Amino acid sequence: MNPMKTVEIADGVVFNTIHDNRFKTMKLIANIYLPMKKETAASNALLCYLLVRCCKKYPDFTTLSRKLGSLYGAMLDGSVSKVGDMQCLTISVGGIDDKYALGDESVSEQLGELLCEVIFNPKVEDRRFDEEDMKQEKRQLFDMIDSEFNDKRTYALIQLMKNMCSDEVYGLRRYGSKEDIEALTTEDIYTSWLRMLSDAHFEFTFVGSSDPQKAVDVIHNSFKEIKRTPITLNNEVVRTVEAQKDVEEEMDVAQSKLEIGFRTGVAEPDSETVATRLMCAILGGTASSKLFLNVREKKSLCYYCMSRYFRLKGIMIVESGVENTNLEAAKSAILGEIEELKKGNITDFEINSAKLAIVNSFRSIVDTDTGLASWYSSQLMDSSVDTPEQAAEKINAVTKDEIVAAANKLSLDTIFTLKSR
Amino acid sequence: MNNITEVKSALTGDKYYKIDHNSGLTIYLYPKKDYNSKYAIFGTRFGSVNNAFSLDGGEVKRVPDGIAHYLEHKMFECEDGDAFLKYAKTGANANAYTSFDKTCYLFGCADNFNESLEILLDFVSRPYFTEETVAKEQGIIGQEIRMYDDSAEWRVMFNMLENMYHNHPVQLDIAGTVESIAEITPELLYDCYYTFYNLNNMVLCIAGDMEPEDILKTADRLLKPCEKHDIKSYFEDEPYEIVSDYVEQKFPVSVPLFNLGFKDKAHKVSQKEMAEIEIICELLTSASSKLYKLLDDKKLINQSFDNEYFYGQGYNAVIFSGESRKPQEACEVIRSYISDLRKNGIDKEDFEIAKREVYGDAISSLNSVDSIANMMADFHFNGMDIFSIIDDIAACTLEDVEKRLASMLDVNNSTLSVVLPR
Repeated sequence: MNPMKTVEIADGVVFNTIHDNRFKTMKLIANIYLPMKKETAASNALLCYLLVRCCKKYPDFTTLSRKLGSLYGAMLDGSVSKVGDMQCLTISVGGIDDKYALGDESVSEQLGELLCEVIFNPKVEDRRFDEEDMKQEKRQLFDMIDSEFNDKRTYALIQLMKNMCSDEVYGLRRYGSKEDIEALTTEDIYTSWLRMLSDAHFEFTFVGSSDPQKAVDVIHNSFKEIKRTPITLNNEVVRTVEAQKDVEEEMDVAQSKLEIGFRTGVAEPDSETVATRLMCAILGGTASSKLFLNVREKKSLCYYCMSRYFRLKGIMIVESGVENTNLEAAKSAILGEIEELKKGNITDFEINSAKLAIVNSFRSIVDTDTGLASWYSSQLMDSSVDTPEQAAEKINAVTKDEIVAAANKLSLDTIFTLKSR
Repeated sequence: MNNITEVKSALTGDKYYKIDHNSGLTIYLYPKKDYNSKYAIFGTRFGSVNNAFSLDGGEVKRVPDGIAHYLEHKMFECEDGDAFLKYAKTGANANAYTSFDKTCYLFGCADNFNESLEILLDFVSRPYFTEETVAKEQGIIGQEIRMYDDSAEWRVMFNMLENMYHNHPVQLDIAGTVESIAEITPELLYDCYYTFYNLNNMVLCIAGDMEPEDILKTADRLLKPCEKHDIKSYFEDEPYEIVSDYVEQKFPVSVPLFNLGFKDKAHKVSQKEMAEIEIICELLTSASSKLYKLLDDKKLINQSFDNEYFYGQGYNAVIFSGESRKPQEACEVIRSYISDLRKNGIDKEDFEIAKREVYGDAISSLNSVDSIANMMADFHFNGMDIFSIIDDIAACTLEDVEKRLASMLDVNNSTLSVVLPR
């Protein structure tokens, strides 16, 4: 049974409660969905980090952090991600369950209030955010963007996606561009904040043992004052490839990175995503997969070689770390394994072990408060919301013919190679 | 007979069982009701630093650097097939890792737990190495070493450790070098195996919704009693002083990285001391701390700023790490703040907040089965207990912490390592 109780507390504002006694902690998460657009991506991203830096009640970073510290090191976190063609701002609070507090304070109630404070009562004056706060958060955002280059595996993946989706909304960076961030003013952020309150789709999710009613009431009252024009969630899927792209970049690195992107022709809410997911796991999702056993273990061609499926965008990628001299061999070995899938050369062992591994990950993910919340929030654009057990049933019902059919829908879109000099 | 002790935590209401198994193995079982998944970790006190050792007072053997990690890779290969393929039939998510001071084999699963546990206990108990299989691994591990060569975070840390330690093997890459692993033979692997993979030198920790009797039945069946031996690791004398106080390397990065390490006198850390050290470390890196504010106001750090207490056999240090556009300036601020703090003492409120933060962290760490099992293994090897340390944290006073501070974080014995953009 789906343990999540959902109420709509304002137009496009949903509050989900997952009551669970198992954890020593509580968590309240706000996922705030806005359309991904070049013009607004940077200001939305910066807004997210400014909101969690301070608020009217705790007007600087240190005062706010000390409040969190005194609540037994509670966390208040902001992050920005892409969900389909939406930009998702996530603001969350988490802390220890009330029963472990050393005094008689209610940590969860205070954190619920705090989350509302940072969303609804930020530090604004004269229709603008604070100049110095903005400078600080711009600096940190630049550092975050730059540090994506520090890790070469992350960098290679970003380059693949950028090249593969260059004509799509999904090709935009989640934080917007550095130039756009640099140009932002404190008034721009204020405008973004107002737009967020009126237009965004809000999903609040509470996980814990206590009753979140107080937080629900505060959110309900806050939205009473706001004229809502909520957006509809949007996601365009590219299903075919017009021209295959090959992109290469040279760098002073010891190990080259090979990133291959495919269109799968299948994306949520299509029912066939289940078979595509399983096909991807058989190819390179586990330690018994074709890529791991044949390309890595048998041929010793790379240290890592794995595949991942982005089921909202209908994209599958294969990632590997390879010596320069092995680049061509690794590429043809990877594509060779995909040909095997297409021809139906798949053993029962491969199918069963991939099914077991996927079911295991479904059932395990709900064993943490964050995992439990994300299990349900990740199904926002799916045709139905399943429990891990329901999702497991669907995976177990997939036949070999369906796996082969999924493989035959794959089309190679882009190869990105980060080549060592 | 197995000797079973039930250990309860009044504060959290949780409990675990500690079993001195008649095979010689210490087993910890931590029931977590209504969790879908179970997590098991089987570890030995054998890490990259144990490269010279003797058994029962015999001759001292010096083995090639990186052999503990090499052995970990080779254990997965059994005479009757690859352990990963055995796990593939149960659905368990299995892995292993080698650190400076231990090697651990682990898995997590929601179903077929007993079958997976049998696989784990079986393959770690049955070494199988041949010339051919040992030679084959050189390619994959060579690739792994190359991958770490490209990791700026890994490089900045080892550059610092090289500047901190004159002789101690903690400065050597855990996986060794392409040259050192070329010297590894089946005989050397067997030597290491039969020295360190003695059940008396190992621990098994399991967390999840389980019946302890079922697990003990499996353990009784699969674990044969082991004779206890005297295992001794040898380390060259290590001076108190650091080697040099600055090192830099140019790398393809866009934000510079730094590691600032404070070398401490090598000693065994008690649990009470650990509680005090954790509060001091929190006091110096938490977002609520005065030092964080100082660095943030001057735009010298970002959210990646962190520190850790780095310790094991023959090494103790506090390491600050992070990204900074001006790492040297950041380092000066940290050093002078610590000097002042040692001189002027710690503010009462600062202490209270840091203590609450450490307490909250300790409670939260008992949330997931993987964090519990990993902690139990870690704590066992360090002679600590995951429940009573929470009491030690709660009982810690400002005086305790100030006294501890006076004996650590020697500003004149610290070294800075930076990785700069090309």
